[in-house]
Amino acid sequence: MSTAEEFTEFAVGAAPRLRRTAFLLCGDWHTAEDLTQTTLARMFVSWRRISRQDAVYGYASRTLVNAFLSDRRRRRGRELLTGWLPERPDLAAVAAPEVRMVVLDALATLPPRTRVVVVMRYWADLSVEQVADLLGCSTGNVKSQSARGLDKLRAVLGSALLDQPCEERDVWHG
Amino acid sequence: MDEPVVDEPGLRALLDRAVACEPPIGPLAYQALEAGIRRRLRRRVSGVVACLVVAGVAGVTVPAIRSASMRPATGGAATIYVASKGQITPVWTATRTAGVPIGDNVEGQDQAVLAATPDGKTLYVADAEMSWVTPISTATNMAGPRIMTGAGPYAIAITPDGSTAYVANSGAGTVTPISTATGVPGRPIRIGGEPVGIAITPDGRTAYVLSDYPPGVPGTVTPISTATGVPGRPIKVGQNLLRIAITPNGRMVYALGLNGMTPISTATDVAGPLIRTGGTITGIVFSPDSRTAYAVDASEGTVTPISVATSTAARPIKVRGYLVSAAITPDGKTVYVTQDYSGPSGTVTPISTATGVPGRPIRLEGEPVGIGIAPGGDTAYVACLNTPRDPGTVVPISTATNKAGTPIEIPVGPLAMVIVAGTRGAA
Repeated sequence: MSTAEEFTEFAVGAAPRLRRTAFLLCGDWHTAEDLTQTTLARMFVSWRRISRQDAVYGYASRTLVNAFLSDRRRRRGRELLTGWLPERPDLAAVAAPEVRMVVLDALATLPPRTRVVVVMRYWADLSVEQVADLLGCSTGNVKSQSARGLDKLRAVLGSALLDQPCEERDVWHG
Repeated sequence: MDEPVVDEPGLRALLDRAVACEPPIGPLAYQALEAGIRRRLRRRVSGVVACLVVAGVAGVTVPAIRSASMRPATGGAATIYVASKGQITPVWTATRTAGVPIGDNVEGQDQAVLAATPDGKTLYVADAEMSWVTPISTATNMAGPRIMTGAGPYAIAITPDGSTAYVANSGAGTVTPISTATGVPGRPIRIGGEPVGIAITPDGRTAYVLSDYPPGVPGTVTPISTATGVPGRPIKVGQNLLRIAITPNGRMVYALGLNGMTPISTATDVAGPLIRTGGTITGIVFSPDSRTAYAVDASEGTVTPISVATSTAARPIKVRGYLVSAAITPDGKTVYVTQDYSGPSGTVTPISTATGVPGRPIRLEGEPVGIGIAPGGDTAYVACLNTPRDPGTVVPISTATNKAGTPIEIPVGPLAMVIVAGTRGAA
């Protein structure tokens, strides 16, 4: 298999998960697509070197997180930080599609690095050590950011929503 | 894990629900992904493009001795224009301070394309997602009215006499000439494909346009006579093209692609065989005497000296990291490459062209996006983003000691930069 074919195989397999992770980090599918392409473009150029390593997905996560943080840096100064917190929703009254919006709004209140910690730990199932490695910080820092992130989410969402298991999924109609 | 994880299952389920609205990925989405990756590969090297412009302004593309005698009044002082999303920030090397960003009229700039006239009086800025170019007067640092081009202006080159700016319109398959005196665009010149690069010979007679085509179709380099505006026969140069560069003496053009680069003699407009260095050549710098091309292979992490006369490669010089951009000092003694490790900090490594030995890497707080060397050659400037506290910085590095000075803060993360001789638009 040629280098290009090998890369294509990887990209096709990794793109969906990268895109979902990116979406949870940035909150919109357009930017998520953008971050995914940036990540894969960077990996393509270094593919011969990367593909010799074992942790290719780890490399992809690191590249994605870096792309996300870079993107936030570029945007800073263009977007106003309001310090505004969404109203705590009445969970019982919230319908499925709204839950999504409420969760995204809540994530959006987290600073970028805290958001990375929350998404990578609680959704992408990375360990504290892996997240610390990803962000180039200490495990203590990851733990304190996790705690702060969860506190903030709880304040916005209400602890009930966090504890509530959700089975049903709403489907995207395109 | 000694700490109890509160609410984890609940949070996970909520995050799962947040992504459940995912738009489907079909064959079209994969085509878009593939196209997006190619676009980004080019954008990734745009910093290098900007810095070649830098070199032009700083006098590297003209014989060093002439540039030295031309610039005694400036004393090496320069203004660095740093393009970020939505704004351009001037940085004065004399005081090492950043001025007020020029932003009101410069919208977009997601993919910054920058060029300066040889006299340094006007800067042209484009966003590859838009269809216009904005001129900025460096005397006042004010943006002028937009000049309409074709869709997707991807590269700008200006004739050595400063009279005409040529804009490669990637979305329209054309090149728009703009009179720099009047700001009026001429009739677009039809090229075909996706024009993504443009380089003008030092005598100003010919503009070479690099055009990429969909996968499977070879790309082209098309010479345009600047006197008549008539395009010549396209020269086939292989697939997946990234950018184009021309030697300081104008004898050779190089078309850089994903798998290597194609040399073209400007005397005959005939392409030579592909030169490979093992991976993807994303940057190229030339010795001031035009004898040696230094090909920067981002994926292999090497800088390979190549004889311009024979196209033969010397032994690659190995450095670490992903090589982002490169610059050469006006005396041709040192090549600087910037390195990224997909982490919070990057480095710059000086390479002695005499010995081919890389020096000790200079650490940067942040991710390097481009490097340029100021007139006089005593300082290299590296634009960085994602630094610990600030959105972006420009880091001065002394070429005598290879030590980094205090970073100059930029309000929004940099995408590209250009260095213009003299202190301009300072209050």
